[in-house]
Amino acid sequence: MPDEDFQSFVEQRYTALLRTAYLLCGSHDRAEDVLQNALAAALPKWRRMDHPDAYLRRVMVNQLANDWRRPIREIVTAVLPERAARDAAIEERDELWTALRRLPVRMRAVLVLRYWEDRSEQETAEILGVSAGTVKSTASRGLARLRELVEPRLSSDLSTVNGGN
Amino acid sequence: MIETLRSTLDRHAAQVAPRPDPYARVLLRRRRRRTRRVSAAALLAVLLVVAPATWLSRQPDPARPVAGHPPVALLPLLDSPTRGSLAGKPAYLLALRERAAGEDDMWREHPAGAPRLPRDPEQIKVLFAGDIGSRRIAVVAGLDSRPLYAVYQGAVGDDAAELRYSASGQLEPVLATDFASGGDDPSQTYLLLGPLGAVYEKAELSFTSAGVQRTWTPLPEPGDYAAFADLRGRHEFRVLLAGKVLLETSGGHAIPLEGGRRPAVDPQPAGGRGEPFPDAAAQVAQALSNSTGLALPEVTFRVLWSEEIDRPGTTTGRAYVVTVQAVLADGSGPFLTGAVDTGDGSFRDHPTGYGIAGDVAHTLIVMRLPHYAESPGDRLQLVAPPLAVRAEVSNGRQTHQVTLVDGVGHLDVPPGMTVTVRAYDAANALLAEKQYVDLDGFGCNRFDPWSCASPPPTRAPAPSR
Repeated sequence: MPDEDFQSFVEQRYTALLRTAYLLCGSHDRAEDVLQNALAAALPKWRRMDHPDAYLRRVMVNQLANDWRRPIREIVTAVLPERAARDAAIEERDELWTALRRLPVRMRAVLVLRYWEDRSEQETAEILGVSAGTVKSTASRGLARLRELVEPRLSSDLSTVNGGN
Repeated sequence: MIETLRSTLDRHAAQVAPRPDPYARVLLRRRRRRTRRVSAAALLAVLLVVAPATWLSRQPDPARPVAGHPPVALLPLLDSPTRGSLAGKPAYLLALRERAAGEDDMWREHPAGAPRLPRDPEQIKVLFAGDIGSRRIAVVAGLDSRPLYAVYQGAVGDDAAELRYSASGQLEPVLATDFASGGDDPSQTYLLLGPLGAVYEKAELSFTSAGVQRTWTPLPEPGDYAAFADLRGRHEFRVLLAGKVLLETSGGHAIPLEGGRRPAVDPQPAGGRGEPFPDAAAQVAQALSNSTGLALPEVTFRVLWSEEIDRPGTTTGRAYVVTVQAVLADGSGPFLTGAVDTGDGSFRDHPTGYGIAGDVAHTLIVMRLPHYAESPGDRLQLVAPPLAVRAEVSNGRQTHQVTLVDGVGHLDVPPGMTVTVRAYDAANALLAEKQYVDLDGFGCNRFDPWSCASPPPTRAPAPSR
């Protein structure tokens, strides 16, 4: 019999978890899918679970890591075109989004958990089941890779971008 | 960078809204999962009873989920010798293989069963190791049944341990990878790596009323691979082996023409199809110029259609949507439809918004509109000759009538539908006809994707509810 606590948890946390899932995979359909799978997996263990948020995030990341994607090919089907240079701040963000989707799943997960969910290195490490040192080095490499991937002509004015937002 | 990243993530996360009844859907999924597990357990029990012990003894080692031979299609690449200026340095190649095999962060964290590079250096092949311009690049691949590749990069002189992981994915018969240059430099380092003996060709593009003409020219030496230290602009390449095209792709970024100045474009739409939006028209014209390499005075730019319409997901709920054509001497030319958020000015396009059009009086454009929400929605936009007053839209079983105003109209067509559209004038004369196929991505050429050896991905039909 489904647990009322579980129902309440789903109703309260679904949108937030869905947003995390979306940032991890970049697809609304896929985000719903991995979150639904994670919740379905959590249901039978619900009573024994101390940190359901962390458990669900870990399951979602593992699912996505299993579904092997091809990061180099993703740029071929990217929706964003060459754009006029005027709206550099907005374009920079879109370039970053495109670049983020090219990162390996676990690297992307570290960036999302650390910089969007504002989790500490230790929290991020516990969610992903790795060491805090791995989180630190992965975050550092992820940011470096993003800088490399962002189209140079649009990234030349990062200080303006930051100031303008 | 971190603040910009946060802002990017905030913006995209804010667009996400759950579908209805998430809890009910979780329960349904749980029930289905249990049903599948019961069925699978029953099947497994049968197999355990009837299968001979010898069969069981031949099962693959669960610790090596990808053990086996590589697919035949990948053997030409995997059997080729290591390419690149470091190919003759066995100590360096061994260090690369050992580095890739021991890549804890990238592979060993993956859950059991996930694909990864083998942990045995003997099962890893160095496909490329060498210097391209000021970069040192290495590409390795696994020699198993589901080969992955990993790309590393660094500076000339770096040893294997100093190279940085750059990209990875499933290996294909040809590997194409790029590396952005730093600072303001819009060029890229670009590597195309096919099997030994492959021919690498680059296309010269020309736009005509019939489509995109591509004239292929073999690339000069070194021949064993194609590498560009500073590829400027977007180019189309193909890789052939024994006359068969293994890969057709585009590489590099389009770069602004005319020093980044916007090309002159009259914002008044041709035939009165919509309202003028000068700023949006200029942005789309510049994107079109950058994408095609066409600029004044070789072409002129004209607006084919221009409207401000509802676009969910924009900051204001509205966007300017403008179709601009680069007009060649014969009156035809490539066109591009772009959307500009009326609030923050962000730009979007859609694969079906690109094409080649003839003159205004005989051209019918059928497309999905650029979208800011997750899905493009069902709206199918028709931009017909200005004298057209109605259109017939047929999927072979049903035909819908659409009233056109100044040649413009739209209707709802579910995703994945292939339809034929015919536009008629007030005297019922057929003015133009077009078959529309939903696209879900770009081909090797955005304006003429069906000319590519690998056509663009088509959008699957929506599931029936």
